[in-house]
Amino acid sequence: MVEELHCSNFEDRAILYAAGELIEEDCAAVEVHAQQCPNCAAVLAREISLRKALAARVQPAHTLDHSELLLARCRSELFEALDDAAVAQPKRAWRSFLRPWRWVGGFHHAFVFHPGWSAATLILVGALAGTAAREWYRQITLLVPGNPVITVSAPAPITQPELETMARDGIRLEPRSGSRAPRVELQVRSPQPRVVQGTPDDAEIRRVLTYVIGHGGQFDDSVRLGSLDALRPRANDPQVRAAMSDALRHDPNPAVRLRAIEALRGVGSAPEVQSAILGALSDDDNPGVRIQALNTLIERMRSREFSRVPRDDRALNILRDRMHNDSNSYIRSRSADALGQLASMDEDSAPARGRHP
Amino acid sequence: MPSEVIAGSLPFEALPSTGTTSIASSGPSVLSAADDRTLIERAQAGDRSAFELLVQRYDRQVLRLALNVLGTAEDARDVYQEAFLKIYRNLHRFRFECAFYTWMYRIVTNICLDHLRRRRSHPEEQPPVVRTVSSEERSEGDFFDRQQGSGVHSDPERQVLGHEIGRRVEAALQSLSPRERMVFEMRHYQGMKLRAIGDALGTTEETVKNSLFRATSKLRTQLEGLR
Repeated sequence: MVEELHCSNFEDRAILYAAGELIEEDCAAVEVHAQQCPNCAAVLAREISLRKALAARVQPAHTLDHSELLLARCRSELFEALDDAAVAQPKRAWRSFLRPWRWVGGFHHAFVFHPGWSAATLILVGALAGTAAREWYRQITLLVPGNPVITVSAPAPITQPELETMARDGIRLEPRSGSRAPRVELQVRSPQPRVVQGTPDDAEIRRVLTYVIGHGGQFDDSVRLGSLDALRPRANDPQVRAAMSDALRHDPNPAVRLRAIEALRGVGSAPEVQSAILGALSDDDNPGVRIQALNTLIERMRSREFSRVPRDDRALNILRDRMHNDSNSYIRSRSADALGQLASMDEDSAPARGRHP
Repeated sequence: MPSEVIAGSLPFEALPSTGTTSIASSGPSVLSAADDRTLIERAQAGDRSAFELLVQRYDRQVLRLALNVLGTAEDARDVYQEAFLKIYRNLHRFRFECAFYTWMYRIVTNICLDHLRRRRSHPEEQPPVVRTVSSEERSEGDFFDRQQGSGVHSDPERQVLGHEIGRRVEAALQSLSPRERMVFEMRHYQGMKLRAIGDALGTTEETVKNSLFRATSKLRTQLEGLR
């Protein structure tokens, strides 16, 4: 039951009226009373006016987080804290597994009471040993002096069909003093064993190495990684740059993709490089590769060269998308930071443009 | 009313429009469309993604409240972090005896009140009055725009007066006690009903009403002469 309305209790009711807390019936009563009593009408007008003045206040939330970057940052920090809490918990549980007698006891129990497991383990160990031993034997025979291998110094006369059919056996880089390119020794079978020697300054060596990094399925991971390292001093060469960008997009091994980004770090604002880095940030399923791509992108955006090229909307869109959707909290947080820095760079450059029309 | 029915709704008259779509509302997974109860039960069972969706469903309002009440990004970040970590650690204690938002707001408002009380005892920690106005806000206009429907940008005197009003309103709000400030913020700027504010502050609707009366009276005195 609502208290009857009088001039004595009108002020409280007017406050609730202005705040929108009264039901329709009470609102009508307030309005009727105000029409009959000029003093109470003034009180009601004053409350409504006060509410309007307060509504005109610029809310700090609008000013301090208009673009919701703070919100994204808060989320990211929270999820990181939750990650840390989740990691700390199992660490304590795992500590007991580090005690050796637990392992001995566990193996003993498993193999004595589960003969099937023992057989499976023996087969697995045998298979691994066989594979590793074969590889080890091949390395030994290749490196023994006097073995029947053909050594071809650059320019190596390797034809395109030979390139397409050749298999690799290993790569060796010999660093040389100063900034000179390393000496490369690539051991291949095409179909006979042969060693291709030279430096990435030789066009033929570059051709072989770029072919290697562009064909992930044909060559070993270690050979592709070695080839990327060998080509790094020549990363500004258009052919090398294209092959590295291609490796970043398509190589099946994340370690190779990561090395490709590192090799492309110092390369200028070539569109295919920018596109490959953005593709890695946006689509690569390995968080390590995405983080490296993000860091490289930020470096490129900060560089003097970037400030001269037009604003890259695709990069901004991908950064926004990563800020909200990436499963990795570091990437979400770093993307938010990058967007904030870009916004401040825009603000800094705006008055400068005004001064020099 | 059973909690299942009200769990997914908010006691707001109008939710603030932010112009962006939250992950929780647009994500392709079925989980994102789940009601609060499902998410809470899954989070209680250790499902991190369910908890993250709960956070994304409510954190915009939490951060907004903290920014408005405390006035600095650093304090608001502290409140956000402290509140959601507390919610995460204590979620297993939530027994659906009230709506989730009520329980959550109880935690958030307590943390905000602690900050305000601490600040009152250390006046040197008062936040600066926020005066920066974004271009979008300028287009909405200040008090004189709303009252008389004319642009302020062409009239520097009005622009100065608009800033002066904003400064005085901010100063007047800071003169309220922490509890009055919370009540006023939740009613006027978050659009919460008095009963919901009472639930969040752990008090009765009548007490909240009295706080609102006192707050309004103080503000009226402080802002005398503006109208």
